[in-house]
Amino acid sequence: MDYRILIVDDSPLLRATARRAALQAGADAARIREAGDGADALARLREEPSDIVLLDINMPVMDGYEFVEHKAKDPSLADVRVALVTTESNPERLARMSELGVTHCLRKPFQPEELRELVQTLFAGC
Amino acid sequence: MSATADAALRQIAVDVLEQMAFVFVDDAEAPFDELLGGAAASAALTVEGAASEELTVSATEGLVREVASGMTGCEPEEVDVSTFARAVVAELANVFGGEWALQRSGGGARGKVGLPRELTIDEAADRAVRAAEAGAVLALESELGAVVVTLAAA
Repeated sequence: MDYRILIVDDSPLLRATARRAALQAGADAARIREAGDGADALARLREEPSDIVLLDINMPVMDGYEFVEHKAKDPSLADVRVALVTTESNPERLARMSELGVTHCLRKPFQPEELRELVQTLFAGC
Repeated sequence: MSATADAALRQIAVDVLEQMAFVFVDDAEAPFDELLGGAAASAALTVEGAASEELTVSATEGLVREVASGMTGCEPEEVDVSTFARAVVAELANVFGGEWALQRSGGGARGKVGLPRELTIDEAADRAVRAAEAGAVLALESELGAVVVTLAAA
């Protein structure tokens, strides 16, 4: 599949888990990139867009909330679809993310196949 | 901490390890201080809710291999422990903390989980001693390793 995916998480374990899920969902390994925080993710997206972002919230430097706020203000990133992969459960905070364009949320803990299914759903919507 | 809270924390750890990494655990036979002596890494974070609590997770190399293998799909012997030990304990602390915050808020989801920070084994042992006096300490073992989880007022 040609879709470009950016995995944003400060945990190398979660990045490796998400990479595996993306590959199982049919992604091309060459089209999977990773970032360790929101600022790194924005920089990478502005260099080269991705179609999909899998985004953690709790990260150093720039967290997922701030990333989504910045992304929403940048017209060059309007077509990038963002899905949260997070421990966050606060309905107000999640509603705010939805208002800013986040389309899906997978709450941790999740089973590995749930992450694969999320990526497949996101690919289907591209 | 109450027996009910102890049991809730234990169930969170058991369920998360099974759900996310297919790792099945039970109460460890060895005492927690002995298991901490063999830990590959430890992490702590703060859970803010009605009260501020600190949760720590320490894992042996065997459990690191099992968790990383279960989540990433590689074989346990292929896991780079030098990279994944800190990542495993940090992520377990993150997910345990999120579930604890949710439960403590009665499902109202008003709690907040801080960023995990690395602990030395001595720091983890100190926290375990304090938690054993006025908090909760879990020692769980899996097929290949063990994990120690502590929770106490921050």
